[in-house]
Formats: sequence, structure tokens, C-alpha cells
Amino acid sequence: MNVRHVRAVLRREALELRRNRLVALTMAILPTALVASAVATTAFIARTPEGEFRGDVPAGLAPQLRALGHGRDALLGLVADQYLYMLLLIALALPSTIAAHAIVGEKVERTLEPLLATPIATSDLLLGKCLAAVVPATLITQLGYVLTVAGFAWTCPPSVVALTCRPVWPLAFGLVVPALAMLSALASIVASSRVNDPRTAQGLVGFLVIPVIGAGISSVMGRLFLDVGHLAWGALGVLVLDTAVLWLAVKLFSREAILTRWK
Amino acid sequence: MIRAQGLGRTFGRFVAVESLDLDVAEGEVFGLLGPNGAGKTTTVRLLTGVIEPTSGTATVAGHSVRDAPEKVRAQVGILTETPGLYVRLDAVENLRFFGELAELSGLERRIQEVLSRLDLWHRRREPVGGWSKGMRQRLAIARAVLHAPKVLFLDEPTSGLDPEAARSVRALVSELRAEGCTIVLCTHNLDEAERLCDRIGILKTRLLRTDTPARLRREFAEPRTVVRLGAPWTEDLEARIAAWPFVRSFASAADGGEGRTLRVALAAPDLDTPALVRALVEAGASVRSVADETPSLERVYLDLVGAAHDDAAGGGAS
Repeated sequence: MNVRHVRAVLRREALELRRNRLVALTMAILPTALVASAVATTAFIARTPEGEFRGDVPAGLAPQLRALGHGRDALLGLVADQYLYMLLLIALALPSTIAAHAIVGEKVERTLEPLLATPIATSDLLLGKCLAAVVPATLITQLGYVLTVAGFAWTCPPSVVALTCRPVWPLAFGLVVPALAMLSALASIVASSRVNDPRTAQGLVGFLVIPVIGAGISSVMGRLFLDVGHLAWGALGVLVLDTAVLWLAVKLFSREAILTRWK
Repeated sequence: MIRAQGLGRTFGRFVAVESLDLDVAEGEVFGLLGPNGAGKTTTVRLLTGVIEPTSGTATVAGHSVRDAPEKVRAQVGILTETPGLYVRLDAVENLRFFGELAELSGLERRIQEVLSRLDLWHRRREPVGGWSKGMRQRLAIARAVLHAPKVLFLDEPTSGLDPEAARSVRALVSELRAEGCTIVLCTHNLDEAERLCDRIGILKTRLLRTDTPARLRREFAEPRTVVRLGAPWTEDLEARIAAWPFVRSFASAADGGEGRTLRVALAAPDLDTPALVRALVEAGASVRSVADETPSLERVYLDLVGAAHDDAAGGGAS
């Protein structure tokens, strides 16, 4: 790996991203809406009198949520937990927005051929483009977590806030989010190096959100209450997938196919 | 500096370049001429190590395009058909990115040097998206020469430029040539090729012919003697000209007034021109002027490419 080449690609992508207001705006909308929605929803629930919730919370909730009581606080705990799952999806959605344009966008703007005519290795180019998608997506997702928890501290009782700060969530946002973002970015690059349209590439990457949504649904059904053990297995799976997709990306990314077949 | 032997590239069943043998010496400006789809861009991509050949071999600046394409890419500069600049970035940011990929030391100084040379230094902080086509082309050339490459590939460097911008690009190519840079110039502009290139290769999937512009003209296009005649012009005179032994062929056309213009192919132009004039005067023609017509490179090009087309069509029919 040539660190100078990776850094050069990363710096240029960051410069372009900063000046492309449309992409910057697209990146800001989803996390802003999610954080605002999380805070607004929990604020609305918290304002509703406790008495109105008796009997409305499913009995099949995870024991940790039931421990909050069967009323408002249990519902707040469940909703807060669900929003944190949704925040994890940002780590999958944002990199695909950036990375799907990483190769196809250059082809469309006809900047790819001069770039591919430089001595940069394919792996370094891919890594630079990946990091350019992963770094902002990770930082935005982590910031989203911090703001959401800060919002919960304002809208929810301490027992619910403690639930959202239990070790598994900081670990998930601190360590697993970069790996998830990397998986999304790599998969987008694989897709965008094989298709002619960034939207198709983004569409193909949409499948990655299924496991995270599945975890959220399992949580609602009381089958899963995310803990460090689950996270460790999930993280291991994501890392294995990262390695496999990186290998696939380097194998599949063909300079000449992109130059000669893409129109 | 460039040596290709039997170089070829197919895409599925489509043959883009076939059996290309080429030698370009250090410091030479080599023109690659050919119609659209002749394989010029594929040849450049093969010789810059961007795509792999399906047959044959080539070395550029001492490195094999097949075995060490990254080393080849480090030694060459390329100007693609379109400038391919990052339009949201300014000139310095564009060049800095490519300079970092080339791992140049003293990069900022070098950027200032090339931008000043191309008269772009005063515009260095503007996003290049707002620049004119000529300025973008100059910046693309600056990018191609930034790392002082041993070989420079220029694909249609003046295409779409206004005459003044085209002239400044041609002047730059001449300067680079004077500095000893080996240049491969792909162009449709035959006048440009003739003015800038030491040798020219005419490509149509295969390299049809390689030589200096002067030799190509001499070998492939017959020189003509152009005689302008005053009135009267008679069919009898036409028949007599056709019978003169030193006339190989001729064509006549009205010159707009009452006179005629004759284009005569002589057996030995240097010796036979006086005989032609004498014979015309004796035949009663009024000779207004006599001039040699140098065959154009365009004629050579059209003849060669046309013949290749006919061969291909004939081959296809059989």
C-alpha cells in the first residue's frame, strides 16, 4: 500500500465533497431527520401521562425493557432502542451515496482516464475512495448518536438514557459503525465498477440494510436485546464480509473494462 | 523510447488494433493519423499501460507495458481527448493531486513553474469549471507535463480550440520537442501533423505506413504541374496534349473566366516542364502562368486510408 497515494485520493475526494453542495445536503438530511424524529417522538411520549399507557405495551418485550415498567418508560426504552438501530443504517446509507459516485461519477465527468493513467495501484485508489466515503459517514453517524443520546437526556427519564448508553451502543457506534461504513462503501464501489449508473450501484447496496433492520424487528418482537456478545458476533461477521468484499473489489475492478465499456 | 512488436488488442470479436510494429526514438515527435475508430486511442491506452494488449509486446521508456504497466505510467504523460479536470477544484488543487500521485518533490515550485509557463498562474485560484475550453486544455497539458515525463501522449490536443488557443498549444508542443521530450501526437489535423511531426504513422487498425511527411508525399502522391491558360481552348488542343509523350496524365478545368487550368502529371517534372510550356505555345495556347503543385499530406492520407478501406471491403466480400 502506498500511503501517499491513498492520502492524495482521500484529500481530493474530501475537497470535492466539501464543494458539492448537493451531495453535502443529501448527506445531512437523513441524520438530521432521524435525530430530530427521535427527540420529537420521545418528547411526545414522555409528555403523555403514565396512566394512558397501562396495558398498551406488548408483554413479549425483552426483560431489560420490561424492567423499566410496563408503561411509558418501557415504551420510551423500546422507541429509543429502535432509533439507535435506525441510526446504524446511516452508516450503511451515507457511504453508498458517496462511493457509488466515486467511480461512475468520475467516468461521467471524464476524469477517470487521466487518473487511471497515473502510477496509482488499483488497491490504493479503491482504499482512498473507500476512506473518503467511510470517514465522513462514520463521523456523521457517531455525531448523530451523541446528539440523539443528548436529546434523550432531555426528553427521557435517567433509566431510559442509561439503556441507550449501555456499553453495547458506544461500542457499536465507536467500533462497528466504521466497519459497517467500510462494507457499504466497498460494496458500492464493487457495484459501481460493474454498472453504468450510480443509482443502480446504490440500489444494489440497499440489500445490506436487511440484517440491521432484521435486528431491529427482532428487538421489537422481544427476541433480541442487543448486548456485547451479539455485537461481537455481528462485528466479526461484518469484518469477514469487509475482507471478502475488499478482495472482490480488487479482483473485479478492471481499469480497462471501465474505460472501454462504460458509456 | 517506444518499441512495439506485433501489438494488438481485440474486444471480444472486434479488432481494435492489429499487428502494430512501431519504433519511436528519443526526442522524436511521432504523429498518429487515422480516421475515427482507427484505433488511435486504443494504441495510446496500450502504450500508456492503461489497458493490456491481447497480442504482441511493447516497451515504453524501457518498461514493458505488459509486465510493468505501473512503471510505464510513471514515465509517461497523457493528454486525453477531453481535458478530464476536476471542475470544482482550482488549477493548483488539480495539479497538486496529480503531483502527489507522481510523488514529486518540490511540488509547489513545479506547479508554479508549469502554470506560469502556460500563462495560467494568475488564474490559479479559480475553480476550473468556469474556465474557457482553451484554458482547460492548457491546464490538462500542464498536468501531463507536470512530472516531466519521458514520453508525452497527446490525443487531439487542439481539437475544438479557437485558432489562437490552438496556436499556443502547437507552440508549446514545439517547445517540448526542442527540449527533447518524446511526443506521440494523435490528430486529425494533417497540417498540424505536418508542421509538428518528425514522422507520421497512418493507422487504420493496422499501421498502414510510417515515414516522414515529405517522403510520404513524394512516394504516395504524384506531383503536378499547374498551367493557367488564356483563351481559346479547343478540343483539338486537349487531344494533342494527351498525345505528348512526356505527359502521363492531365486534367483541365475552366478557371472561372475564359481561360483553363491544366493539372499535368509529367514523366520527369524537372526536365519536362520546359518542354510542356514550349509545346503548348507552339500549339497556339496562351500560357499565363506555370507552377509546381506539391501534393498534400491530406491526399496521401486519403489515398492510404481509402485503399485500406477498399481492401477491407474486398476481404469482407470474399
